[in-house]
Amino acid sequence: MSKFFKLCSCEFTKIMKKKSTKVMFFVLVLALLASAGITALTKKVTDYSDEEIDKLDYKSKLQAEIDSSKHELSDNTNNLDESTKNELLARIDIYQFAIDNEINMYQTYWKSNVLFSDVFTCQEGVYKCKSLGQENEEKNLQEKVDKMCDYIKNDNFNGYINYQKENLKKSFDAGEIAQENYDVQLYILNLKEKYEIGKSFNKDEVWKNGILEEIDSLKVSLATGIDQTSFKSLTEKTYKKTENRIKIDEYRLEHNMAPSITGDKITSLGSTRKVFDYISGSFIQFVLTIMMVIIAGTSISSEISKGTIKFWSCTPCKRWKILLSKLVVSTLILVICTVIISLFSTIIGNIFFGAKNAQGYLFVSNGNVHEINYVLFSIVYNLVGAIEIFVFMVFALMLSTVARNSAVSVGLSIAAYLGGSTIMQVVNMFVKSDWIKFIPFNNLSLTDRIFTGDISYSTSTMISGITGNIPIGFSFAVLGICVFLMIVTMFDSFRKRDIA
Amino acid sequence: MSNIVLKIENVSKYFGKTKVVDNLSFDVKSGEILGFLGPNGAGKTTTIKMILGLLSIDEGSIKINGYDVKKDFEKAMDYIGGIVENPVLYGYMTAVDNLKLHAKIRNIDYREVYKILKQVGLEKSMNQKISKYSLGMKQRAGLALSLLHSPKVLILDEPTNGLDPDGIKNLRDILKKIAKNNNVAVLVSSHILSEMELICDRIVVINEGKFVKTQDLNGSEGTLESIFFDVTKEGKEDE
Ligand SMILES: Nc1ncnc2c1ncn2[C@@H]1O[C@H](COP(=O)(O)OP(=O)(O)OP(=O)(O)O)[C@@H](O)[C@H]1O
Ligand SMILES: [Mg+2]
Repeated sequence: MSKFFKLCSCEFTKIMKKKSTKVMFFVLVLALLASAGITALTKKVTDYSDEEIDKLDYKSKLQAEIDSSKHELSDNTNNLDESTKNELLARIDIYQFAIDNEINMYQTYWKSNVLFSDVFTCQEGVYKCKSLGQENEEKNLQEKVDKMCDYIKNDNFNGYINYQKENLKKSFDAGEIAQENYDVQLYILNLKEKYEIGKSFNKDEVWKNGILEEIDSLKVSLATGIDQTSFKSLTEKTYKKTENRIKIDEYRLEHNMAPSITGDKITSLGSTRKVFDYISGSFIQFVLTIMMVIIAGTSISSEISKGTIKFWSCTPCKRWKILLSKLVVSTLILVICTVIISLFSTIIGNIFFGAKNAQGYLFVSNGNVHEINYVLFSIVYNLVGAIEIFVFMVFALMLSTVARNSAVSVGLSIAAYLGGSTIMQVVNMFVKSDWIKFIPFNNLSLTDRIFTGDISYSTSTMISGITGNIPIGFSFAVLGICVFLMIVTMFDSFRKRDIA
Repeated sequence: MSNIVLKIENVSKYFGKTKVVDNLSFDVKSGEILGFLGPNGAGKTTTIKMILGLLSIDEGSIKINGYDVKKDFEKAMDYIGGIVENPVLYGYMTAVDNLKLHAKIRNIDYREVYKILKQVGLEKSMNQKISKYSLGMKQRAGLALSLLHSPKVLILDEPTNGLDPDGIKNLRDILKKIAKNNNVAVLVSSHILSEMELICDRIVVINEGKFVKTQDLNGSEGTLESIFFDVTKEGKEDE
């Protein structure tokens, strides 16, 4: 036993003294810095900054629209039909109102939403009724317009929500909407009221609208029994999952914790820190895979081709122990690197995106939402990612012992890592049989499938759709068998064959 | 004093269908330096690789200090050291680091590493990376490596390759010393007959994998050269 331990320690020394290992550590750190850069860039591209919104001079834009609409109306040569005329008239009114009350259409919050959609439609209806002579209807609509404009003028957010609730009740009583629809919409309105979502414009809280949208569609899923993203009937398991998801979403609203991606139909980015965590996670995984594949893929074959294995073979260590020590040491390096780099990524995140923005991972157990500590989670997350890396590492080590050629083993392993999932996507599109779930490549992307709490529900549904909705336990079994077979193959090959 | 520490019994080895080593038997006593001779392709390296456990033994048995290489691999390897063809150490490490790896595996004090490097004449360049060594320096480092754990049996395949006259003399002195003082059994293969004549107590000649002749060199009749050419001529006459 102690001899084996010494063998491992020698193996460790050998790997650490290599220049290529040092270079790869450096690249790993670079990758972290790069992901910080990319995060900052993504945020810049997707978000308007405050100054940029100010620069978009909305008042003169609105004025220009009004002028052109007036011009069109006064020009008798173009025979405008009735509906276009109504629309132009409504537009002039609404835009003038926006200018007077300083409502910027580039800012998304309740006032701009209400004015440019609901009030607009009603105003249009007013003109339509006027031209058709429907006085009762006209009065009705005019009342509505006035009421909504009042709320806007007086900055009465809660009043507006209550008004919406009343309307909802009215249309429910009139039998226009079904019970479950009423329930869902009322629920959403209550959430809006409670967390004051959209009360004022704040670009850091845009994600809350995405969360609301998601809760809306999840609630509908629960009510109708049909998943609104995949359009499949809910099973007992997916029902539970949907329920838990709503709990997490509400927890986010309550504690102001933005996810990395929000939204149902249109996805938008959440908090910068979360985006960094997500990007750095995938970067780490990528670079670490390449690094481990190179370490494992060269470990045996380079010793055989250079001849250094000869010295090891005539030390009092059986051959399988030599190979086992390589496997053990590579795995150990993988684990140590994963833990260190997770901590390092926390540090970089804290420096660039603020320590107070770091948030733990949310999950539901026994019906309650729990939060895992941020640092702990980032280690756990990357360790789960390391399982996947381990599979490719064993693959590289196996090729290294069987083919005895560094280029072949490293090249093939990296090709499998980069190309495998893409090829599987194509295969999965055409082959609809059941057996494709036994293909190892269909059982990867473990982190994305296990830690679904951070990405939007629709995104996670899409991911599991691509990988074929295979249960995680099954995936672990397939990968485990795969690793076992590869290990048996390499030990068998290494023990039996001569070292020439 | 004359106990047998390396015993080769009826050993055969096939590469594919060709029999490269054919029913070979001989042994080496402790304290003896045995020259292992034969023309190119005779099967010397193949035999040495089998002794060191690099190649599987198809037939027969090899015993080192009484332990069978096939059955008691780890024990047998405790007592043996050697170089096959060109000794290869890790180029990206210094000679000291290379030897320390092996010292660790075999539970040897690190002080031994410096001592042995000094003995083979590498004390000036022992902290240099192996990739910057010349061929002869690599040979010396390889020799140091195979002597590190004071083996009972030392196997050297063409150790004189690339050594300068000083190195060859140094090698000869070391071999003589460890054979006499430490009772080490040494098996050397080389094509430099004059050198073998100076070093060896006895020679074994093989040809085409078969045992041909063994002869004591102390007070021998005829030179090593004449013995060697006799053998190769016999081989040719057979054809
Ligand atoms: N890996 C191998 N595969 C097939 N044949 C081999 C292999 N290695 C050696 N041989 C053959 O085995 C025979 C013996 O080779 P070996 O290297 O033992 O000779 P040698 O006595 O060491 O010769 P030299 O004096 O040139 O070093 C040769 O005919 C060679 O062609
Ligand atoms: Mg040879």
